[in-house]
Amino acid sequence: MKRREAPRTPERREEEKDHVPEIEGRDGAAVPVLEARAVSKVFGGTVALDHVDLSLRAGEIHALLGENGAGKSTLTRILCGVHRPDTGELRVDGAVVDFHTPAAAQEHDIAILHQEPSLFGDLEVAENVFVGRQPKHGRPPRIDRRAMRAEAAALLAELGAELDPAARVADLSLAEAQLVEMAGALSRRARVLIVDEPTAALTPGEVGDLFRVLRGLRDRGVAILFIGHRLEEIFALADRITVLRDGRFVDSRAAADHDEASLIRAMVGRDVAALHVRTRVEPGEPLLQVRGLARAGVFEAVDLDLRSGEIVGLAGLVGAGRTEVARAVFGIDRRDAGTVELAGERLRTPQQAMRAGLAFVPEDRQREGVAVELPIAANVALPILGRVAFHGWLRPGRERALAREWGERLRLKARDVEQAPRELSGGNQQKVVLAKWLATRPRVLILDEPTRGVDVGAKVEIHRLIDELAAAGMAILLISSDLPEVLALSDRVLVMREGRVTAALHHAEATPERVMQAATAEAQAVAA
Amino acid sequence: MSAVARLARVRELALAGFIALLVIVIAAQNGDFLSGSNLRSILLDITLIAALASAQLMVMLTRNFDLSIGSTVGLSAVTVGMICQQHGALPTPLAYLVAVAVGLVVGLVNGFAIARLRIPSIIFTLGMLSVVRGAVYLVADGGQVNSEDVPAGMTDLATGGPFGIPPLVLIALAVALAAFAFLRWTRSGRNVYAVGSNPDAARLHGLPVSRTVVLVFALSGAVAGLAGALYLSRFGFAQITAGSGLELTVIAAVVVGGASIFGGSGSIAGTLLGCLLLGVIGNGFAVLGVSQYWQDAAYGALILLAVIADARLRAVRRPARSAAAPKEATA
Ligand SMILES: Nc1ncnc2c1ncn2[C@@H]1O[C@H](COP(=O)(O)OP(=O)(O)OP(=O)(O)O)[C@@H](O)[C@H]1O
Ligand SMILES: [Mg+2]
Repeated sequence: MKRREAPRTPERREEEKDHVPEIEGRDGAAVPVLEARAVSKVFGGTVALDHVDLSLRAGEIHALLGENGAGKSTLTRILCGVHRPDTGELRVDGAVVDFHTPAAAQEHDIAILHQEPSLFGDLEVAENVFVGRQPKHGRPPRIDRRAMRAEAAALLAELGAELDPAARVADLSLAEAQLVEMAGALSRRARVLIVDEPTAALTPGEVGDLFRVLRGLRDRGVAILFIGHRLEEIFALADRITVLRDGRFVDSRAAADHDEASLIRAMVGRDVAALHVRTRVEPGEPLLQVRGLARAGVFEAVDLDLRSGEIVGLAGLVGAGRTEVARAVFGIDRRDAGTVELAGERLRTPQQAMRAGLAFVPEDRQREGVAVELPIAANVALPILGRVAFHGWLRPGRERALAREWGERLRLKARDVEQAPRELSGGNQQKVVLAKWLATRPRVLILDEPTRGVDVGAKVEIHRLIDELAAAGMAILLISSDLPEVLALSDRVLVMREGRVTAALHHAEATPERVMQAATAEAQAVAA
Repeated sequence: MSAVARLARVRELALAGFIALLVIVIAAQNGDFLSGSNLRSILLDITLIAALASAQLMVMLTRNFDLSIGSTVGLSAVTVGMICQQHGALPTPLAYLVAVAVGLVVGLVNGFAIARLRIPSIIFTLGMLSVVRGAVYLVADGGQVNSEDVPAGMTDLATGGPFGIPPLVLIALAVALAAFAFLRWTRSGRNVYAVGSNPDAARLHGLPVSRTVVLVFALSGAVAGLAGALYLSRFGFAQITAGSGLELTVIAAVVVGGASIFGGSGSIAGTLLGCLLLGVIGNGFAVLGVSQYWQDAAYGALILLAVIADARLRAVRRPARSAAAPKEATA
C-alpha cells in the first residue's frame, strides 16, 4: 500500500533545510549541485529534448515527470555522461562541466539507476553492487571478497532486501535485480542520485523501504532526481516537481503547489480522468479452465475459471507466484500437476495455446516481448504473420496499417511504424508489445502488469481498451500489483500469497483491505 | 553459494573425476602410462596448451576469440631461432623477452583493431592468422630453425628440474597462476568478466570496455609469444609451420574446461582441467596405439559435450526472468 504521510508543511520543510549544508551563491541562494541549462538532444529526426532546464539542489527530492517519450530518460543519460547534449551546458556547483563518459560524471559524485536493467548476470550480487570499485585489502592489494559481500549485504538490508550477496544475478527475479541495482547506486555515496523508475517491479513494502532510504539520503544533503509514473508516489516523496512534455520544459514547482489534476494537465496538456470506470457485462460461456495447477516449490493447487467477457484480477505481492502461474498456464514453464483447458481443448505447449486463442503479454517486456532491432510494424505482425501474409508472402502494407491502428489506440509515441523499438522510450516499448498481442485478437488474454512503466494518459487508455475487449467477449486474466487498477477493472479478484490462492473475491466484496490482508497475512486457503 | 555456483563447482569436480577415471582405465590397459617419464611427457605436452589456454580464457570471457595465437607461436619461435642462427645464441632470458615482445606486438594490433575499429574478433584474428603466418615465411626466408641454432640454455629448460618437473612446466604454471590472480583479485580482472557478461551495462557503469578488450588481446599475444619460446625449448627446432592449428586445440581446452563461448563465465581451474583432459586423451591414445583419427574424434565429441552442457546449465536457470541483458553471440 502506498504510505500516506502527514503532508509536510512549509515550516517543517524549512526546519529540515536547516540541517542541510549548502553552498551559498552570490545572491545568497543555494547554488544547485547539478544544473542543466538549455539542453537539447536530437536523435536522427526525433527531437528528444528541446532547450530543457533542470536544477537539482542539495537535500531535495526532485521528481521529473512526463508522458512516455517526453525525454526524461534522455535527460538523465545526459546528466550521467552517457549522451552528450547537442546544445546547452551542464554545471556542477555552478561550474561548467563536460561529461564525455559515464566515468567523468561518476568523478563528480553523480550516481544513477538506469531505467533499463544494466546488471551482469554471470557475476554475483556483491560484485554487481561494487563493479569497478571493489574494496581491496592486503599487500599487494587485492579484492576483498568478504568485505565486499558484507557491505553488499548491509546495503541490501538497508533496502529491506534479504538477498544472498554471493548469488548469481542471472538467478534473481526482476524485483530482486532492481534492488541490486539500487544498492549499487547507493553504494557510491554520491552527492547526486538519479533514479529512473526504480519502483516499477517492487512490492509496496520494498517501495516503502526505498522511500525511507531516499528520504534519509535527502536529509543528509544528497540531491535526488526521481522519475516515476505513479502520482501517489510522487506526492508522497517529492519536494519539487519538474514536468517535461514532448521534450520541452513545462514547469518546475514545489510539490505542494501541485495537485493530481494540475500535474496531469501539465504532463498531458489536457484533463484526463485518473481511473477508468468499468462497464460490466454478464459473463458468457466458460473459456479457460485451470485445475490443480502446481509446480513444485513455486505454486500449488491453483484453480482458475475465466468466462467470456469476464476480467479476473490476480492480485498479490511481487514474488507471490502470479507470473509463474501465468507462464505455466501458457505452457512456457513446466507444470508438475494440473490441467489447462480452453473451451474444452487441453493445452500443453505455447503453440497449442496460441492456436486455441490464448495470448500472454509478459511482465518483463523488454526481454521477452519485443525484438528491439525489428521495425515496430514487423513486431506487431509477428504473432499473426499467417493472417497478414498472402500465401506465405509478407505484405508490408498490411503490417504497417495494422501497427498504425494499434499504435494509435495505445497512443504510441514513435516517429513512424518503421522505427526500431530500440530507439523508443521504455514505456513506448511496452506499448509495442501490448499492440502485438492485442492484434492477435485472442479469445483469452493474460496480461502481466500491463501498465507498469506506462504514463497516466496511456494508462487510462489501456484501461479503456481492456474494458472494451472484455465487453466484446474476450476473457482477461489481469495480473497487476497496482491495486486500484485491479479493483477498478476486475469482476473477480484472486489473491495469491507464497504460491497459493488465499482469497477469491467478488468485485463487490473486494476491498483494498481484504485483498491486502489475503496477500500478506496468514490466511486460510480457499477454493476458487 | 548459489545453486548454479554449486553446479559449476560440481562441474569442475566432474571433469576431475572423469580425468581420474580415464587415467585408471588407460593405466589398466598399459602400466607404462603411469611411469614417471610418461607423466612428464604428458605435462610437457600440455605446457604450451595450458599457457595459451589461460590467456585465451581471458579473451573468451570478453565474448571474443583469438585465432591468431598458433601463427604467433610460429612467428616468435622462428624469429628467436633466426636471430640465434644469424647472430649467435642469445642468453635464455633475452630470448624469452624477444619472444614475448614479438607476441605483444601482434596482440596489440589485434586489440586495437577489435576494440577501436569494432571489427568482430573472430574475423579479424582469422585474418591475422594468415598475415602472421605470412610473416613467418618472410622471417624464415626459405630456411628453418635447426636444432644447432637453438641455444642449449633454452632446451635445458625441458629437462631436469625439481621433483623431475621441468622448468618449462613451471613457467606455464606461473602463467596460469598469474592469470588466476589477475582474474580473481584485481579490478581489471573482474572487469574482464563484466565486459563479457553485459557489454552495454559495462559501458553504462563507466567501465573501461575497450581498454579491457585491448588488454586481453595484448596478454593473449604476449603469452603466445612466450609460448613460441617454450616451443623452441621443448622441441629444439622450429619449422615455418610451427604452432599451426594450436588455436583450435586451445579453444577446445577452454570450452571443455567449462568456459562459456558467450563470455562472462569460466575459470582458470576449469581451463587447466580441460588441458589436462586433452593431454591425457592424446597421450593415452598414443600409449594404447589408437589411431590419430580417433583422438580427433574424441576431442570433437568432448567439445560438443561441453557446449551442450553449457546450454543445459543456462536452461536450468530461469533465463526468461533473469535480469541481465540477453546473451547474444557477438563474435
Ligand atoms: N537512441 C535513440 N535513438 C533514437 N531515438 C531515441 C533514442 N533514445 C531516445 N529516443 C527518443 O527520444 C524520445 C524521448 O525518449 P526518453 O527515453 O527520454 O523518454 P522517457 O521520458 O524516458 O519515456 P518513458 O516514460 O517511456 O521512459 C522518444 O521519442 C524516443 O523515441
Ligand atoms: Mg524513460
